[in-house]
Amino acid sequence: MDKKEIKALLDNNLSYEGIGFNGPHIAKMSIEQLTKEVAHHQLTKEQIAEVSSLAKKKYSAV
Amino acid sequence: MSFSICGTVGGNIGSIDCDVRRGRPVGIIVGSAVFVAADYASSATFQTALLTKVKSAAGSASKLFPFPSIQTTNDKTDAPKEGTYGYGLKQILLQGLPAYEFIMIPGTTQEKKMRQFHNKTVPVFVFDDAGNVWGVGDTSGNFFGATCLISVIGKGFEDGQNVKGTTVQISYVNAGDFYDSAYFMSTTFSISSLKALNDGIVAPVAVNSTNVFHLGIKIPTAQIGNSVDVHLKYPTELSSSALWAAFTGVNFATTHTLTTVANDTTNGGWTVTLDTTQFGALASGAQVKIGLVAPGVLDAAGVTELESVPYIYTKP
Repeated sequence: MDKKEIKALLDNNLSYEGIGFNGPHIAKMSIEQLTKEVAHHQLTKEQIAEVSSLAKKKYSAV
Repeated sequence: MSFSICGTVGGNIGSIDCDVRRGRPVGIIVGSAVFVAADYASSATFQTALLTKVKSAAGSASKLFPFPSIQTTNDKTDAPKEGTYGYGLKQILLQGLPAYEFIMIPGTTQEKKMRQFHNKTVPVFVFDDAGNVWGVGDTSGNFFGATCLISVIGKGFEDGQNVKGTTVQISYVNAGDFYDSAYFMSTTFSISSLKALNDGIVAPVAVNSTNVFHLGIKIPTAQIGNSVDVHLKYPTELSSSALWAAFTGVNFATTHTLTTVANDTTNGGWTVTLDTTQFGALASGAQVKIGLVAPGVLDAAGVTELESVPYIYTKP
């Protein structure tokens, strides 16, 4: 694994409220899917919406 | 005057000012790494290449294993075998192969790992007190370790009389590697810059709830039942989906997508959530392997000296 691959891997991470979200994966999800997927993290509706928005903004091109 | 072929036997043997000589060994690095011209273009590139190989995953053919620093060196090379003609002319009949005994002071846990190399023939680089790494060069410009038979003799109990440590002996299989094909590369390292990795065992710290796993990482020690908890050192650093990886399928060749990784302070580990849809589609009996990414990636993210031994989950 070269430096470029390492950088790409590390960049593909979205950290929010101490939770490491798989950014590119989250970007593809609807709010409903994401809510279901991360139910155990007990985030509020607003926080989930923010994570979704951040992921879509940052990783929509991935 | 006699006839002569001396002019074609050897080559010029001129001296070079400030030519380097071998120093005092302060460390050895074993493993089958081969450095090419691009790697040793400068000290900086060589150091980067060397560290990359030290931080390779176990099982990688070119991985290097640095041993602990050397505290004593004893030259164990056999004295040359001499013969003498009847009228007194001496001749060296056989040259002893180079062999060195090094005393190191690892703990029992580390010594157990070192013992895995006992009685193996492995390529060895020797790191001297001038920061030079000594190995072998070939005509293609490759730089690699000299083939040595290595013995690791464990430390016994103290006796209160003499210092005691772990003895590592290397015996060069080929004198030519040591004398005629020897090359070195200079570094600005100290031996303490070369840190060997620890195996962190990934295991559940709480029962999983379908695709949501609660995993901890522990480094076993020689004290039975006692281990070093990685969660105490890297709780937030490892709360990152980029630093964990899951695989499934035949030979675990298929990546299983991770959704999130969060610090699980309640259980002293991390909550690793696998993609619900992909996990749900796995048949009963299917296995998922969950662990950390390659040590080089961990290192780049600030999680140093660690390689994970993944946890394998079988879907009921």
